Amino acid sequence: MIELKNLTRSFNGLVAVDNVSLFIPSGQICGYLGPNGAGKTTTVKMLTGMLKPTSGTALVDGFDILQQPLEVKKRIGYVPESGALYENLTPLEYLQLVGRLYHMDEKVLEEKIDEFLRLFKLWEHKNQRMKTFSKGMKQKIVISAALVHNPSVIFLDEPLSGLDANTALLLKNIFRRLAEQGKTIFYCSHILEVVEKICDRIVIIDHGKIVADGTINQLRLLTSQSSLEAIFSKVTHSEDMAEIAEAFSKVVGTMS
Amino acid sequence: MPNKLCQLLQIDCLQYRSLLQISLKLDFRSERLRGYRGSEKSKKRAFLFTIVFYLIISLVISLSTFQHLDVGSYAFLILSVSMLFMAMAVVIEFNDIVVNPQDAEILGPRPVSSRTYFWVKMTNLFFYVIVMGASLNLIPAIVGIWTQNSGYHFAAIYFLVSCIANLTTAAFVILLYSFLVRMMNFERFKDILAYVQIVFTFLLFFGYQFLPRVMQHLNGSVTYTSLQAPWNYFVPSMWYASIIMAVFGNISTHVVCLAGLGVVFTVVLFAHSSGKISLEYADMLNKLTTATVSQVESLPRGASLKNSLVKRLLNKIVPDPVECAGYELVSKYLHRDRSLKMRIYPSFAFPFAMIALFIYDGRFTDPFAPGAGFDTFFPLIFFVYVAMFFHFLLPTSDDWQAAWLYWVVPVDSISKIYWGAIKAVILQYVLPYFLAAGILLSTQMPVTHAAAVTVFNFCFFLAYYAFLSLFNTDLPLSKKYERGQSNFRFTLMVIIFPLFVIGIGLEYLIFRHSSLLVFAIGGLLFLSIIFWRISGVRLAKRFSTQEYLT
Repeated sequence: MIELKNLTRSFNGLVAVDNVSLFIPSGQICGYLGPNGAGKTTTVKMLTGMLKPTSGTALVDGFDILQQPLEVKKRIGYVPESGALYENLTPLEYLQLVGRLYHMDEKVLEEKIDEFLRLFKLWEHKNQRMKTFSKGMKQKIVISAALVHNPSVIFLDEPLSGLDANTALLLKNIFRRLAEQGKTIFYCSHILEVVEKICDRIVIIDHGKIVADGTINQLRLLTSQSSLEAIFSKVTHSEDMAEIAEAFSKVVGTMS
Repeated sequence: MPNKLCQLLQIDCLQYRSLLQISLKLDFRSERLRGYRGSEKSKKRAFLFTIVFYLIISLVISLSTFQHLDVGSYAFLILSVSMLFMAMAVVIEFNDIVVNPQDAEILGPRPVSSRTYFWVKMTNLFFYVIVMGASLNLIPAIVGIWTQNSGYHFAAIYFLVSCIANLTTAAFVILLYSFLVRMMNFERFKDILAYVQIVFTFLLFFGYQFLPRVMQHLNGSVTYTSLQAPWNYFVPSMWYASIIMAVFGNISTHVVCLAGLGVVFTVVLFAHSSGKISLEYADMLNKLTTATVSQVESLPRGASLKNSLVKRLLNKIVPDPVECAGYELVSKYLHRDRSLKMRIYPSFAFPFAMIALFIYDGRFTDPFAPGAGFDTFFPLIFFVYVAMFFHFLLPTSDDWQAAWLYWVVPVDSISKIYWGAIKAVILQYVLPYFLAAGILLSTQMPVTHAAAVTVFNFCFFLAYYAFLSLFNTDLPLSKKYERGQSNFRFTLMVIIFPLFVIGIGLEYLIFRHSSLLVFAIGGLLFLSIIFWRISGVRLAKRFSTQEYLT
């Protein structure tokens, strides 16, 4: 489970996350949405111990992110939006490093790496440096590294970025199964169709504050909108997209 | 690291071993950056180059001084050089080991304690410090056996003390880093690093010029006792030299105080590092990944007028839009990209240091005057050293991956971008330098003579820079910077030093026969144009066969 208690973070006076409180029980997939710069990644970075809150705190799997950051980190898996990894290592070396950081048994680790690489069809590339990999291949390794130690809470920031349709479908199924196993999944994304499909609950954040929270049906009732796209647009007070698109295409025309 | 030591330092042994192993592996893995045939840069080679460079430096210094110095003053001198080089190496080449935002991104969410991570990074850094320190001190340790009042045991004692001194220097730099990162954001921190590098380069070149001047004033020999003064307490290399003196049985109050200061400084520094700094290290790294919010500054009054004038002037100088794009790109990056600034700006220290020293010595003389020597030409001709920096570094950038743009833009000749870049360097960096040098020279000689010297040297610079461009293989800002390139340039400078001497000799001959001056200037300009035309054609041809592979 994840519990945010008045979590706040500001940068040079600009409040990125403003007094956010939230409870996500075990086994739930919570979609965390918001426009660019709304505070999604900042929230995730605080929950994963990469940033310290300016005020407030949070419990992850029962451990306080400020008081017991290492205990929190032992129990979480994180797929960052940046997809950062050591590209000069091979997938095997990278996953071995990650497993050892969690003190995994070498035999179990080897077996798991073996399975992951086979499932993701990366087995034949296991000794190749990741620098030569496509974005999708790297993303598969990032996801494997987030799950190899069997975390109970998983933070996913745009996890399907760069993946082909089949792998994306596979991963959506995997996330569903992991939630059924009792894992809590905190899912940040801009792909609303995916969020609508796989998340049990949707939280929308704008300017650092929660502006909507509920299941997709609750949000539909609340906003009188049928699609998540329309709900999102309404609660984040988006401008008229058709108008902007029209103006933009006009500018494109004048440039040629 | 043995398990007991791990427990003592409160670090996780398995994590420590795994991370250190990977850190060293990554350090020595060459990066294939692009699909250029045969362009794989080797980090191992760069590091080896550094070692050889340090061995040569230490051999020259120790052999040229050991006869004039006693054991204490010799140890002081060599330790000073070693500690300065070490601080410079950590600041310029190895700071990314300790302060690497990518590490925070990858390892931030992993259950690695701040202490474990800190000691991994310190051990990684200390590995280089030990190897580089050995290359700087091994020869002096052996040569030192034959200094006055020395003995065979000097080699072992000196080598051990030098290791401690070098490690302390590196630890001190890290302490400063952690302090700076805590005080400011990463971008500002990189700015500070750039200034520190410039200061270090100044120190190095002033020291290089200053040392022979000091040696000239030495009558016979210098002893440790003759150097005794209150300033000793402010110079760390003197503390460690005093430890050696104490081991050699020189137990005066002064020696004991200085040696004690050295021991206390080392112990306190490492205790503080393993305590407070190691605990806050992870926070420091996480701060590096924190987004920085900068205020948009409004343009000052009159800026728009100035901008429009600059724009009009630019249209005249760089009329081609593709060239103009290259010009704008490079001039903006040279102003804004701190990593690039950090690598290029220190090169200016060398000619500036030369000018300052030559003014100080009163050696700027009118080259047309009877009996004038070579001296006036030295500081100006050495500006070609800056050309080398621009040549090697302009193709590098932290944003090198954006170079895909070169492959997709529909331009008839890609070399136009390169011309724009060259023009940006010359107009914004070279021309102002020579204008300033000309003004400075006019205070030392008639204005027409100062102008002649300045124009000749400016053309010499153009010809040299154009010559270097013949070997250019990359477009501006299109490849990643590899660690070790700074030392490579220093070494190259030492190797090509005789070429400078030949250049100065030729310049002297031309100024002796002033009728040749116009032809010489014309010849240099002609050569520049020819070299640049050839290099442009070569670059465009090479580029047409290259593929963009990341």
